[in-house]
Formats: sequence, structure tokens, C-alpha cells
Amino acid sequence: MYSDYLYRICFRYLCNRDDAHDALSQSFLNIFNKISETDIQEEVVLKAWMKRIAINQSLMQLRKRKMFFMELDLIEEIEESPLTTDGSLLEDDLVNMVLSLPDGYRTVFSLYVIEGYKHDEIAQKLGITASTSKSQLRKARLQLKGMIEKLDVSYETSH
Amino acid sequence: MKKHVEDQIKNAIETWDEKPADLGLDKDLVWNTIAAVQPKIQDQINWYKVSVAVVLLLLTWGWGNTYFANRLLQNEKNVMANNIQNLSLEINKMQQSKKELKKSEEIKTDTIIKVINIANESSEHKVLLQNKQQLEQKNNALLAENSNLLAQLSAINKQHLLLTDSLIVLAKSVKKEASTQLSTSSNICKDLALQVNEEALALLTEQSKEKLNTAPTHKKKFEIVLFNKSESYTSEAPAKTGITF
Repeated sequence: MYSDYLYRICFRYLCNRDDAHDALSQSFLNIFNKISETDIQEEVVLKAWMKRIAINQSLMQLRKRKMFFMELDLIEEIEESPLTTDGSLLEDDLVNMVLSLPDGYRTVFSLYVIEGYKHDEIAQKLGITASTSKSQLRKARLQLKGMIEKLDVSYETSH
Repeated sequence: MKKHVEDQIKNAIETWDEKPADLGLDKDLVWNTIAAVQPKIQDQINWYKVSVAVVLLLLTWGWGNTYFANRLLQNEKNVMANNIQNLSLEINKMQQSKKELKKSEEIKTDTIIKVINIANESSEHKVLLQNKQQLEQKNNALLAENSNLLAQLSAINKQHLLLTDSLIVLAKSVKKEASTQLSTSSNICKDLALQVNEEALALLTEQSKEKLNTAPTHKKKFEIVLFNKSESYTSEAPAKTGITF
């Protein structure tokens, strides 16, 4: 019932089918083991709880990648400028842009913008400092801005 | 990046998450993975059981050990309590005996006081005491006198020693003088010439004869004159009777 939903979440963080499969399997195992300890009765709450488990499992999987933290450290500081869009961009384009971000940027951006975690919480989950989380978010935004600008140009030229 | 762009991205992703379209999820693979992981859970449970059993055994052993140790301590405590009781009894006994001793000492002093009272009352004892006191006084006086005499004796001894020392010195000086005299006389012996006053000698012999019968009326000098080349010596000592040459 929730397998597609959870698989998409895992895939969004890992960007790899095999890793997403592994993360989903482990997430289901965790859900089966811990569901008896909870007293969740509403579906919305259950869905959010399962999503949290899937995200945590994906992050654990992500932390196994050796390059993940190196990427976080090696990216240079870039000045941030406001990003604007005319709202004509398609949803799939935006999703693809997020999925095309490097692991570190994508993870921090997803946790902060989509899941709504604060920098302290992100830092705790990823084992980094809050300032690193902030800088990663700033860089992710810059990269997304560049991508959106490119996409706008391509739309203009095609039209 | 403006807020509405982020919101747009967030909405796009949330919509994407909810899409029913398949993204390549292989449900069989997921279920097979879950089934393959299940025995591991069983193993974990088994290990968990084993570890629990081990912990229970350890706890049981620890409990038994502490129980026996507790029993031993209880026994020791009982023994110590008995010892303490015995000691307290002994202490009580000692205190009682101490009190008895104190009482007996008090009785002894009472008896001594009584004896002294009786002695004071008897007149004979008074006389004896007076005599004793007198004797002690005399004894003390004698001892003082004795010490004085001993001091005097020691002073006399000291004086005697001083006199003997001076006599020895005198004798030594006399001997020395005599030896000097002899040496000087031997030096002058060569030119010695003896002149004897024959009249005086005759008188002397007569007087000696008279002395046998009558007391001497006057003394006459017997003069011996020794001639030396340089000096002459005249002895004026009283002539001893009975000198013969």
C-alpha cells in the first residue's frame, strides 16, 4: 500500500534503485518491528511515521557512501543571489533538478526545504555541524538557481 | 532563492512522492530481502536469549555468592555479639571487684586510724615515743659532733702533710748546703792550717772534769780558727763537752 510512496522517498535521497530497494526493505523491517510498540490509530500519522523511518534509513544508507561527506567539505563558497521563476516550469523538471544535485546538497536541501527540519536537527542526523548544513543549503540553492536559469533559457529558445 | 520557488519545488516533490506510477520498484525483491533478513532476526533473538540466560546465570551466581557471604557475616555477627556479651559481663565483674577492693582499702585505713588512736591513748607508748625522740635528738647531736671531729681530723691531716712536705724540703736544702760546704772545704783544704788555742783547750778539759762534780759557772768560748790564704773563718758555736782531737 505504502511501498511506492516509501520507495520514492528512498529513491529521492539515494538516487539509486538498488540502494533504494535496500533502504525500503530495511525500512519495512523497522516498521514491522516497531509498529507493535506504537499506538498509532490515524492513517496520516502512520504515513508520517513510516516516512520518517524511510528517511532515516535512507540517510543511514547515504552515510555509508564514503564520498558523501567529502563532497560536503570540498564544494567552494559561492555568493547567493535571489532566484526567480516565472512559474511555468513543470513539476517533473523541478524534481529532476533536485534529483540531479550532488548527494550532500540534495540531502540537506530535501531535509530543510521539503521535510522541514532545522539546521541543528540536520547536523545531528548527518553528523555534521549546523554551519556546514547552512552552507550546503546555500550552495544547493545556487546550483538550483543556475539550473532553473538554464531551463528558462532553453524554454525561451524552444518557444 | 525566493520562498515561493522553494514552495513550488516542495509541492512538486510532494506530488511526485504521491504519484502512483511505478518508479521501478521491484516488490518481489523487497519482500525477498525482508524474508532473507528475517532469519537474522531469529538469530539475533537466539543470541539475545543466550545472553539473557548468561546474564541470569551470572546474576544467580552473584545472588548465591552474596547470600552465602551474608550468612557467613550473620554467623560472625552472632559470634561477635556473644563475645561482646561476655566482655560486658567480665567488665561488670571487674567493676564489682574494683568496688570491693575500694571498700576493703577503706576498711584498712579505718583500722590504721583506730590503732593510732589507741597508741595515743596509752601512756607507756607516750613515754616510749618521748624516749625515742630524745634518743633521736642525741643521735643527731652525736652525728653532728662526729662530722665536726672528722672535719677537724681532716684539717690536722692536711697540716701534717704540709709539715712533712716542708721538712722534706728543709732536709733537701740542708743536704744541698752540706754538699756545697763540703765542696768549698775540699777546695780550701790545701792551704789549711789549724791553730789550736791550747789554753782554752786545757781549760775546756778542766771544765769538763769539773762538770762532773760542780755546775758550770760561766761558759768559755772554744775558738777554732781556720786559716785560708784569702779569708779566715771563726766558729763561735758553743763548744760541746767531750770533744777530743
